[in-house]
Amino acid sequence: MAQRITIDPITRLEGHGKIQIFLDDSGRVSRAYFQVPELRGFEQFAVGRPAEDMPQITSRICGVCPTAHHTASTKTLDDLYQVDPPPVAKKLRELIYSIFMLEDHALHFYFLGGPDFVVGPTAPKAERNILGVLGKVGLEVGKRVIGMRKELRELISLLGGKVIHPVFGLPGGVAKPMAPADQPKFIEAAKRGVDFALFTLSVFDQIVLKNKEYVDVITSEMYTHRTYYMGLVDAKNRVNFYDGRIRVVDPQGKQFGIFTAREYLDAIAEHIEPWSYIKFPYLKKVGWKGFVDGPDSGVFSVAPLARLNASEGMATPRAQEAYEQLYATLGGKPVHHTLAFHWARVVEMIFAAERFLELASDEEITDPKVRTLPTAVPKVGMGVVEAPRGTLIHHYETDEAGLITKANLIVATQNNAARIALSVDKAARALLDATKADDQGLLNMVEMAFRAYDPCHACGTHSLPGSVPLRIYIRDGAGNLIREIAR
Amino acid sequence: MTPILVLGLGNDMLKDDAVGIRVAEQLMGSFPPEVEVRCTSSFGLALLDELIDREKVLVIDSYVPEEFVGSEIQECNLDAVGEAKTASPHFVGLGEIREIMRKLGLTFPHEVRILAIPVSDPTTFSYEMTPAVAALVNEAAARAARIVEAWLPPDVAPPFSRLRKNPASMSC
Repeated sequence: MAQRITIDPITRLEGHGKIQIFLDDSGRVSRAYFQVPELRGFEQFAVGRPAEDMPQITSRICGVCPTAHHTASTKTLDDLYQVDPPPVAKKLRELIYSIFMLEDHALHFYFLGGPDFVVGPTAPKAERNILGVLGKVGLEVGKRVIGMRKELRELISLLGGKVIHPVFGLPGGVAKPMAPADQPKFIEAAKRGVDFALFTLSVFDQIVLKNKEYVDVITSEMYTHRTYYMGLVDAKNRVNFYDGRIRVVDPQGKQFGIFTAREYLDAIAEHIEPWSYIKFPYLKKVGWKGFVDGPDSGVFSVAPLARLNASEGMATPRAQEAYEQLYATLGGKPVHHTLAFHWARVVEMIFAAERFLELASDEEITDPKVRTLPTAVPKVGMGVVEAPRGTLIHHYETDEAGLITKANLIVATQNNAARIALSVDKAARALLDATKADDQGLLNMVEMAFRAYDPCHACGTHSLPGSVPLRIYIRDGAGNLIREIAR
Repeated sequence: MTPILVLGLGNDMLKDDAVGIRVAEQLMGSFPPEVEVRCTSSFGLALLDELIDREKVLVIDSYVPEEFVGSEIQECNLDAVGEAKTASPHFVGLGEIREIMRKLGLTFPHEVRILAIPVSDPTTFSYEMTPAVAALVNEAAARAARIVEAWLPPDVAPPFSRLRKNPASMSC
């Protein structure tokens, strides 16, 4: 039986990430689109289920960032039941969350961004993968990354249950306290995490910043968009992953707005395009002006660089130093270069590790009073966290019995979708119109345009990842396929 | 750490994508102590944790055929999957994980078999599989049991004879 069978776990779902490039009659790029597969029926699936099941349900949408969904959902239940968790419960949630952010960012830096910078943007295709990264940074560093990741995941499991299916968050608190006997494990792991994050910054400094070619790529116009930026900030407008208000700055870096999760519908609207399952969020007060950047376009960005741009600093000392170095090197705030997301991610690794250490060392962290029982009648709840890939908002409505009547998620990759579309379009235009790059070169350079965002389309479309292998389809003005490029 | 792992992959909230998990659930309790049956929704580099220090692994997963009708359960070894490389840790495959583990000096299983079950709809949120896919669970479990049986010493009773009749009581 002749048929194509893809049984690699990464491509179990046969859908491909697709880039469709349409040319005009003169053969120049008229528009490039980035498309991803769809999953259907999340809202219908949620309706009628008990709201307290949502932290488990949403954390299983995909295996990439279960902790982000679990935490956003738990905070949404706090709001739904109008219950304020005890201080230690908030600290434990943030501690788990900091571990998760550290692990996720490390994975991205070494293994996802690595092919672009650690190996190099012009390296041969055969080396532009995880194995190439290991070859460049050395096996000892590779073992350290794998070992650190394993240790961090085990700590999450120790406190929060399974990494993939966490059972930690409850409305009004968490399921269990930290045992005093376990606290030293967390403190020691956090110290190693800080060392590791600072080591990663030194790797970035040595391999990337000391290489003028790399810095020129980072600052090139092809990978630059002057958009708005969004991120959670604390009371002093410093980056916060777990809680705070959502701050937006304009392309000049001035505060455009600041709002709570409850107010997100006043700030964000969603634009629909016929060629994509993703809805494109934009700033309501600016309006949708198409896939363009600038102060008159409501397109905004989330994720590491956006968080740094939207803040006034970091809440921990070493992260603040790294933050200042980034802006000093790249010409001040805001930085509009998409590839600087990789650098911002390293700054956030340091912050996550330092915050992990602060919380693990907190005298109150083993306090057994980890929950306030909810008593209010539920109605509407909204919650927000900063996922590794950007601002993540959950919104539930229930009947009086607490059964879901409406559920909406605005996920991180979705928030970045319009800017990702801009990036793919701009790279495709530059490469097809100017350099006539070969197939793999084109694929690489276009991939770099969106890889910096660390997009995860698993929940961007409420879908499992089916985006590899990526394919590029180039069509003439009549829509006829004239060239297909596959990895 | 048991030397043999049976690993069901999938997402039980996504209709037919649950099939690997359902087959693994049916196998739970059927094998001697040297065999562990696990389920996971993990993918990409996270699968590395599952494979470390195992000798033999059976992966039970789904695939989406061009035409579901007429498609059959497929069985192959890891070499048949190919070595396609991706730049994303979210999506790295078993072939790549094997290379990474070998390069890092980690023990990769001597043998990895893959049992792939055709599915019709793995993209709709539902706990219920398509009936035609659900009907393949028993056959897949039987084939999985035979693969594991061949890995066990000859003096161990065939695990297929101990397949549980009511797997609903044990879940991943």
